[in-house]
Amino acid sequence: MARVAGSIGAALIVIGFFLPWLDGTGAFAARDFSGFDLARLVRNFEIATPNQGSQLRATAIALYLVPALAVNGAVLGWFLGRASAIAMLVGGLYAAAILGVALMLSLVSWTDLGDVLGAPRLGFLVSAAGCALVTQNAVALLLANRALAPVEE
Amino acid sequence: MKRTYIAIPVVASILIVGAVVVALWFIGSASGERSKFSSLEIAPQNTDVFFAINTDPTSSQWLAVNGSLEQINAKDSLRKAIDDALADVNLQWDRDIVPVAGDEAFFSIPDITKVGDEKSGWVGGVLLADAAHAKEVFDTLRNQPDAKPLKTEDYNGVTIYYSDPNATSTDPNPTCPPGNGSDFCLTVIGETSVGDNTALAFVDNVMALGSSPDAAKSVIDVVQGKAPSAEKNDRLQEFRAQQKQDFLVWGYADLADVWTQAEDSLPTESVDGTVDTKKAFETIRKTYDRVGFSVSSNSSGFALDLSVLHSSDFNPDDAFEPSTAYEPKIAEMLPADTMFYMSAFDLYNQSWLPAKKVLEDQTFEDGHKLDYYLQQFKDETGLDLESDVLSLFTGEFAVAGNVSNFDADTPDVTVYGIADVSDAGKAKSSGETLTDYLESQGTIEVTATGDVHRISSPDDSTEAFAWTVRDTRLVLAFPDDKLNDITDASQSLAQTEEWKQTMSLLPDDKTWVGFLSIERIIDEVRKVDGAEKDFADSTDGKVTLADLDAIRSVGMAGTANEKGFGLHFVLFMKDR
Repeated sequence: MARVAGSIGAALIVIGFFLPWLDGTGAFAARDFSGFDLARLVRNFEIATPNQGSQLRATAIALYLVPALAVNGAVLGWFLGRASAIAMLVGGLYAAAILGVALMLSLVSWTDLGDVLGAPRLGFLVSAAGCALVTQNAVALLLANRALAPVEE
Repeated sequence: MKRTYIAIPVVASILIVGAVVVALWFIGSASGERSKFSSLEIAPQNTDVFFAINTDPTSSQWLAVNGSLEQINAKDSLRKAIDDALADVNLQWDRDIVPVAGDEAFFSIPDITKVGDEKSGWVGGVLLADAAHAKEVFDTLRNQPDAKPLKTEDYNGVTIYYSDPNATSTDPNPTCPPGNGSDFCLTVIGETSVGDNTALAFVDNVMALGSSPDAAKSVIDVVQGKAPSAEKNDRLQEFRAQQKQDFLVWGYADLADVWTQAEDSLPTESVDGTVDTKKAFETIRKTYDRVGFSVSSNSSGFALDLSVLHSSDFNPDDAFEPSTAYEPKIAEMLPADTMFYMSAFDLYNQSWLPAKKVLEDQTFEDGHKLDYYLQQFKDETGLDLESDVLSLFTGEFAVAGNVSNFDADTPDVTVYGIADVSDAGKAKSSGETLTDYLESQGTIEVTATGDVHRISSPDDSTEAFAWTVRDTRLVLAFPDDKLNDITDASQSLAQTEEWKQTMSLLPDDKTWVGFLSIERIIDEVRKVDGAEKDFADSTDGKVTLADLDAIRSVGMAGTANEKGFGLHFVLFMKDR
């Protein structure tokens, strides 16, 4: 049951990644950005500021890792025991961390993105719900594994 | 056993995560860009002249422009000028202009022969990201106190606004508000909100424009699906297929109508009885069937690419443009501080033979044909121009040089002429025969030291150029002592970052190459007394010579393929 719920959570993270995460503001008002769009925007900034290329490439990869780790948790969940729970937990917590950073960027102007990102949109909430579902079920799986494990004396 | 238990999930995770990230990376790279040519969907099918303008501020193109303007410190001053001008009409760039723009806008002249007609003229359209906001901006403009009243017309449920040429402004003295630091005044917008010859309408997510209400209607029809779009224009689509990269502006002109109209005004008889105007016209028409250009930007600067498409019945033998691609190698023997360089390839086969083919049919004004002049040249000099001279030049040939000491009465000029020759011995003997002939005529004075020939004017021997044949290259230099720079070039032009980057920005299959070092020009300008201050003063201190340091070089090249040819210009920029 926890595996099914975890997979649904992972699917929500992935679907949310391609739906609008955040509104645009300022020059990018009337636009919205999914996680995928944000990675594209970051990569376009790389073209404009090549001296920050490696940093921007790393940021784009950090965004692509959100669905990648979620898919990883969901796939391993059907084949491996305790490791799958850890993979799901990593996927859920990582996505939550990235969503948290995106939210921070939209609230605090500490980078160029702070001036162009606005309020959270549907995709953000879908991904956040997925994070909660994945994390909760990963913890449940871990606890279940621990309860079933033989007690070492 | 425990190690295997850990390794399996770790390896599986690396494979799954890696595969997904790589897949997203490539998908993001291929489809993450804006939709190029999306404006074709809202443009009327018939078009003689078409411009597509990238209006997506998040596209890599505009982000790169932003970066380039920042490099030359022009971003803030340009932005302030725009902000000030928009403030005159209560608008803000970030709030009212950029957010409204969608992916692309277009401007089109459907029929170039009917530009003056009241019902034809031009049409345009802007894809909008926020149509409601765009309408608000428009309402703000047309409600300006000094705006002329607009007429309206309803068409298929859409309101078309257009200016009434007879209406007068409600403000008797419409001017830009004084004292706001504005560098220019949006006169057209401020006074009429749509120009005197402009009709405008909002339909779905499109702002339709036209030189008249009827012209705007043709865009509305396309948006509403009642008329075919430019997507159905096969000639434009064939041309557009050549544009692989994204762009800032892309332009296209179909010359079929132009040629049809020009044909009517052709003289019925040959000019002076020497040129067959009908034949010449046909050649030009087939050569220039469609032309176009694109302006694009990237992290290294800007590019302007012009392309010409031949008509389908074009005869390749009529092509005058060079078509053999080559790698420019002569730059490898030029000094690193060379300011300009132009080279091409195979003078004999790509220039002389096509020119000869045309000239052979001509009778010149004195009644003689080309053969007569070639024979006369041989009788005078003892050289067969074709076999002894021109046929030697089947490789790269180049002109390069330097200008310095700008504030002198006569700046110091250095010019190099270098050409690959197919037969070094013949090149040397032909050169000596020619210089001997000119010396015998009293035109020049020649001093030979070994293989180096110093040539000066008989009246003034202080300035001279020198020529020699070195390996398989004919080398000329002015002044003569600069011949040594070619030998002693410890670091060549081809080894400089400017050359390498500029060449890499140009297409690979170059048929000719040009290079201009802006860095060297700025270096020389700096040596002029007071140049830094004079330049800064000329821009009110907004731009200094130091700001221009990021502009390094200009490159140009030609390309050719079976369908036509192209001209390419690039501006290489990089922080020093």
